[in-house]
Amino acid sequence: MSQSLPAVEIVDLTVAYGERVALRRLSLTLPPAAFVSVIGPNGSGKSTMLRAVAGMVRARHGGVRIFGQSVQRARGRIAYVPQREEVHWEFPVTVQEVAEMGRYSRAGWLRPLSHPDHAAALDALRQVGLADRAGEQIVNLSGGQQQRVFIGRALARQAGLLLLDEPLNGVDAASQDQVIHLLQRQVGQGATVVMATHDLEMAGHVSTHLVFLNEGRLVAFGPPVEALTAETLRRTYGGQLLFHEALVTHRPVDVGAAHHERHR
Amino acid sequence: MNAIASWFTDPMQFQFFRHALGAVLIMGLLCGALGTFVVLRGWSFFGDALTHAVFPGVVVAQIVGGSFFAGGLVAGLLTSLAIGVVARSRRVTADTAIGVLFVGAFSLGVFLLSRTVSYRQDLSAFLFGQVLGVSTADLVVSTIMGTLVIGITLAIFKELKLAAFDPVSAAAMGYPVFALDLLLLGLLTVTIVVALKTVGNILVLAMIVTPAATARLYAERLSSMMLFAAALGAIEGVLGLFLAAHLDVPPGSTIVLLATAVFLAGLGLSPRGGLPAYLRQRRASAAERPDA
Ligand SMILES: Nc1ncnc2c1ncn2[C@@H]1O[C@H](COP(=O)(O)OP(=O)(O)OP(=O)(O)O)[C@@H](O)[C@H]1O
Ligand SMILES: [Mg+2]
Repeated sequence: MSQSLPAVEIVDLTVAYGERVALRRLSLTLPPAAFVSVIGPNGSGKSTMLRAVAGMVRARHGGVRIFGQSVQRARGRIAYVPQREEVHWEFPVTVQEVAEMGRYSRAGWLRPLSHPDHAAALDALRQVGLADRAGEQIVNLSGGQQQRVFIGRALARQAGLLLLDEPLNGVDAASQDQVIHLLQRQVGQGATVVMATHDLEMAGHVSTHLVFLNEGRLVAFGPPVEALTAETLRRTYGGQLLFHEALVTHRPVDVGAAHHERHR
Repeated sequence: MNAIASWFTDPMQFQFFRHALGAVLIMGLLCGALGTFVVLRGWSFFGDALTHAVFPGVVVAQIVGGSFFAGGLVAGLLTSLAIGVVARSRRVTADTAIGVLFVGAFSLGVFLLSRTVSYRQDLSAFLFGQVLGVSTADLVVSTIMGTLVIGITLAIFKELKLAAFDPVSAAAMGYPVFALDLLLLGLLTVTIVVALKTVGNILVLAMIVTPAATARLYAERLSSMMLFAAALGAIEGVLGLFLAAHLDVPPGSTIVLLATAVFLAGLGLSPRGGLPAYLRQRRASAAERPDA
């Protein structure tokens, strides 16, 4: 039954921080097993949309449902990977400990993690290819590896919905490919991935759906072939993005296929 | 051998010293443990604010003949609430607001105290501690409060760890991050009030920050950092107290000086920041330049 339910349903959502309206009357429905990229200039509301889906900011109007449930009820099925700057990387924790955080809510308050929790965390690290670094401090890993640990944490949580805020920021090209590959594998197994990104080219190639935001408003939504048009880009970035327009109009078909191949 | 033993046993024959020893031990453990969070979260300034803000509460308690601990706790908890709220707002003036508030509170304490008869003596006790005047009742209250603080910290250890390392994900998982911050500030307040008797207002921040900062140089996990910091705090407190007794100098500053010396030594020897790293680097750069 839950197969047919949308992974995320945003209905007429308005979010504001005090006076500042960050999202205006946003409506979107994301199907399960979708790979969604959220695109827009700085301050367009990408992070806010992710936060609203995760239930971290209150809707002034409208609301969000996750797999047909309220966000509160669906919390255990959501995993969030914050923007890199929001994590204290210098904190003394090991890679294994970070992965284990995905099991915290399962264990509950006042309870230490059980043996299966530890095992699940290690297994998740194996899936992201970092089991051999389990005992190391998180700060000693590269940016790309750190993102993979966080994806591992999401796997340990067994979440059906992964929300990632600019997971490719500050990560080199080869590691970006690894991260994307991991995410695509999750989508292949039925998870829904929603990721905020500034990398339009990458997003166009790997996503099943694109969300374009500008000043908190939805500019376009749909599969890349439909949504990624010169008109969309003009309305998202205000016409200064000549390079990206060129990218759309001159995009040779086989480049997309080649790029996609790289991520398999 | 005998001389070393008697160095430790001689002062122990006095009851006031045994009380002081207990107080210093609890103070060191608590300050080290909670200081770990203060250091990791960059809360030194909050700690400073709290120590100052506790002052008028303690003074009022003294004037009306109430409990030192109760007075300090009420003032401290109110302040930690205020800090929590102010720190939450993203306004850049948060620091300033806290600064203005706590210096004002401290002055209020001095003002109130100056109206009492034994002003000078009391002031120095408040500022530098009065570890040799710890009563049995003080010790009992300190032990109870200390046990409570450590117990709560351990009970919600994993949540505190998550909220400190990655607060955004913690919120996404449904944890009440703001309430956890307030609770941590509350535990810090209790720690400060307990420590106040021992090392006094001016020095308490050093005991919160220094052992934890030393532990930070070596620990790779929060749990080991906390254990190390608590042990360091306790050992430095106890050794400092003995040193002070033999050298006939004020215990509070002796303890802090000792802790500072240990930190500097730790910094020098630390594998990451100190001498070993420097030597490693020099050797590496020498190897890179064959002409050198
Ligand atoms: N905690 C907050 N308090 C007040 N205003 C905020 C807060 N977070 C975001 N905003 C404002 O809301 C708007 C949308 O911000 P948001 O962070 O969602 O944008 P974004 O698309 O993620 O930007 P970026 O690409 O820079 O990450 C911006 O105008 C921003 O200034
Ligand atoms: Mg953002």
